[in-house]
Amino acid sequence: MTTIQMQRREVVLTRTLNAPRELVWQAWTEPKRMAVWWGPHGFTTPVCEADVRKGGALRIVMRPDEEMRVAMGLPPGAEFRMGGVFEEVIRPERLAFTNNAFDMEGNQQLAGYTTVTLDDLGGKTRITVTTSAEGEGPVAAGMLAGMEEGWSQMLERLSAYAAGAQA
Amino acid sequence: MDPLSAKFAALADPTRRAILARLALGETTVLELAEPFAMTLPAVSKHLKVLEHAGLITRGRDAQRRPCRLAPEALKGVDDWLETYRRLWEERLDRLEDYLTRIQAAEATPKRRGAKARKPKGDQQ
Repeated sequence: MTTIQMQRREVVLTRTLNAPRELVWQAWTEPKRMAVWWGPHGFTTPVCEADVRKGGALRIVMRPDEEMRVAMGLPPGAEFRMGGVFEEVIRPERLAFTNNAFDMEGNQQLAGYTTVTLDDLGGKTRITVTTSAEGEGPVAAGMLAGMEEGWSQMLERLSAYAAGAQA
Repeated sequence: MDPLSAKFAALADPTRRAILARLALGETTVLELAEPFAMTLPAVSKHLKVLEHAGLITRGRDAQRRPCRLAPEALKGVDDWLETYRRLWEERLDRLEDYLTRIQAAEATPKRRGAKARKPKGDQQ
């Protein structure tokens, strides 16, 4: 028996990039360029596939470098997968895609939805990223026995985080 | 790795979360911990080491038992995953910004007219 609890969170980030909009668009839509900056620190992105059109697929695999792998206590060969589908592609100003993160056993940990808006500021670009995450935290009921509400919430947040951090 | 990242890394593993959940019920020994998880002692010890390193648990000095318990304030700062999710995206945009700066610098270098932007040197990917 498992309990499934959902929790949705949204983050909005805005910043002005010192680059023309066309270049920012390329950085977001050409897999070779995306792979350079997508991964968090300590990770490489050996697989980055993006079929940037409505209904097209997004597939990303991130791998911790050796130092990060050891620090995280992960087995050799550990990697994190993310997959999604582009739902809106309006060149060169707007992208929307689902981004679902999976744990190392391939179970979906996090269902995400991200929109990217690029405003042309004449040589500079204002980027707004809105990303929401919905965590599915199947937690064995026995694990929750005797635990306070705060703990179950924590576990739920953690499973979302664990996936989110790898997305 | 900063302490908060170490905590999250330790918590990314379901077995370690289960161990913490067990410890939330009270102090216990490695032997007692190993039983419900159907794991070998070395396997449990390895997980405990990661949790201890992350500051999530403490272990008693009794050489025989070395009882494990949740560290006081173990989860301080961990609770707000939203903040961490935000940080991940901030970091991602930092890297995007660096990338844009570098390729524009590379393009500005007069090498060949119309040369395509290359990946800058020193990139690991």
